[in-house]
Amino acid sequence: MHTSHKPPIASLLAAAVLGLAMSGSTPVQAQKEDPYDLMIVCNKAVKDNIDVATVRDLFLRKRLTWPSGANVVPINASMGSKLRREFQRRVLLITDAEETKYWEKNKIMSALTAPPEFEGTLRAVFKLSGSLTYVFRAQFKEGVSRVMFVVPSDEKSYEGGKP
Amino acid sequence: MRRIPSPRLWSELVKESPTEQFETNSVWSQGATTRRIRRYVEEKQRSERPNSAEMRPRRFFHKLSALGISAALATSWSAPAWSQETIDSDPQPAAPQAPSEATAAQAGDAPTLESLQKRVEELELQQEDQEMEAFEATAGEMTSFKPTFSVYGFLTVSLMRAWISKNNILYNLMHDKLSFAISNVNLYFHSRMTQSLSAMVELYFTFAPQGRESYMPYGRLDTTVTESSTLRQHVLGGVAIERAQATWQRFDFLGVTVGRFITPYGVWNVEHGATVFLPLIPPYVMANHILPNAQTGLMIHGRFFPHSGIYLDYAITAANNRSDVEASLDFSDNKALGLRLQLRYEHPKFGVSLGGYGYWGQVDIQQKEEQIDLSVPTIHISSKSRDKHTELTGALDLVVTGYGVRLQAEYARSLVTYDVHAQRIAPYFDVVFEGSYIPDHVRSDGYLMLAYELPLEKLLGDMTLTPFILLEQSIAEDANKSSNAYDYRAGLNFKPSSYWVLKLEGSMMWAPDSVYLKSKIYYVGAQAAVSF
Repeated sequence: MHTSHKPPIASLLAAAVLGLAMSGSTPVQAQKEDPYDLMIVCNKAVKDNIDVATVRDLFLRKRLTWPSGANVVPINASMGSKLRREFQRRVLLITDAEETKYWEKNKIMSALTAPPEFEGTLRAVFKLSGSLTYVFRAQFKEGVSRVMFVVPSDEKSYEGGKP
Repeated sequence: MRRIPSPRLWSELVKESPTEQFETNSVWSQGATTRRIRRYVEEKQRSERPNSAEMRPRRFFHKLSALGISAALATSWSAPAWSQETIDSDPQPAAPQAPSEATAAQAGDAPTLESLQKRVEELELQQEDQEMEAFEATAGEMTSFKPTFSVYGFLTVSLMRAWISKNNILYNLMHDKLSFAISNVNLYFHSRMTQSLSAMVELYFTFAPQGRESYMPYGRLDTTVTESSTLRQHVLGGVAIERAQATWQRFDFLGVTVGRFITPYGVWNVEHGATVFLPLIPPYVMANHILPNAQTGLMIHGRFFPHSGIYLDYAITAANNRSDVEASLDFSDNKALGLRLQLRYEHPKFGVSLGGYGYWGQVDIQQKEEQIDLSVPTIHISSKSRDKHTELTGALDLVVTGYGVRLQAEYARSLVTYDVHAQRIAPYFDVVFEGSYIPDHVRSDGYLMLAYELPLEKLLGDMTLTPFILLEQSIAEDANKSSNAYDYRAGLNFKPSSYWVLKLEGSMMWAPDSVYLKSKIYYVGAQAAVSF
């Protein structure tokens, strides 16, 4: 005796649609945009893609060029500023004092000096080819630079003043 | 009828929304502010949305009032126009109103949702255009690389005292009284002319040869001079060129340095500055010059990135062979060659570095004699080697860091093979032992240093206090055990800031196989090293 337990096609379709919908919505859980998000941005002409470890290398001058071979001009925010401290904490993974020590050591060893500083980092990368910098989302402006990636804010980001 | 949020919602909006802070911060934040406020109000209203069906009609008005506020705020940025015409029940806060809406309201013609949306979008576009113009105007200067030039350096002041027993040959030969000394005044001139091209000169100022002693007969050099016009006395010293190099580095994997550069071997030699390395006195591996501390020539160097956090550095050196004039001359057409390889793994909390340097050189120290024949007349200069040997040296270095601990070790071993054996010279006395020649030999130096940065962040903040111990062995000539020396050191390195270091160190040196140096030598030293 042949017994068939085929589910109705409509049920299958409904399940598939539901599954797709679930898969699309549940895991993604869109990251909330936060003004304290750190946006790693570069000059619009830069075509390379880099990760956070490479950004760290570039800002510590362990790496001098983009993966494509072009020169990188990292632009720092002013030492001691909220933006610089957040970049140190979230990307360089060092403190203000540790970064100063790092540059003092490298200056004596090999004349390696810290990247230049500009108060308006986003302005600096606007026309300077090969430049790379960071900015809080609150200060970010669409269309003036290319966003490489975003380092999300965390609880500590809200300490020590506004962006 | 409510067209704007309630006073409670408004106060929450101002208090909670971080966008409030940005309005004064950036010229372009107001468009974003408008959007954020609108979004915030909508989200807030959604979250407070009543479930009761009878409350539904209020949703439309909430949305409308949110847009009304947004539009009004946006308008107020460019052309302040404050009006409370649309507020019918709540007298506060005074919400700004767009002129068109205000006019419409006055005329009894209530704005529709679509018209408000359109107006907000128009204002945002207008605002962004203005912001972009302002941005371009201020960003115009930063369009190209700017050359840099900087002068900096470091200096050290030391205070040292040694204790040498009377049965040691160094008694009264080596200075043992408590003395201050300016042991380093190093000045750097560095310029980055283009993104790829840089140059650096490091000058070392010294009081030497002031106080230099010589024996047989004894004499001590006094370089003090009196200026005739002012009668001021000056101690003349010297200037040594530590480094004078130009570097082209267009790619990470390829750079070229020419000039006088530091030999890329070991840890200590590369760290170079007293503000960088932990102890006070350099190890024998440097003091004995088992490898040249600096070379004059060409270095090709670069870095590869095999994996995130892993660096593979290389350097190939071709330079003058060692001699008493190697900084500017070579007595051989052959050049001393070296290869440096270093593999590093770096993590914010942990790091390992393993390096090696191989060096091959031919030393030919020539002595010249002139022969003058007055009858012709002619002059003939002849030269002959008084020391010709080949040196093949290998050096290894290891550094492991993590959780405040630093383990550092270096070892160098050199094979010296003579073609023309050099005569043995007594150190300090510069006296040649006639008939005594140095045989082919192997020499080696190695040290191990263990340091621990004490976890005193709560007490010292960013200052660091690092005790260390260092054990060292030096074999100057394997066939002559009397030259074997051992050094045991312990010290403390205190770094109050990035710019200065205070060091305290005690040491015991011992040459157990030497008849003349058998008794131990002790010294205690303190140093302040400052970079500027």
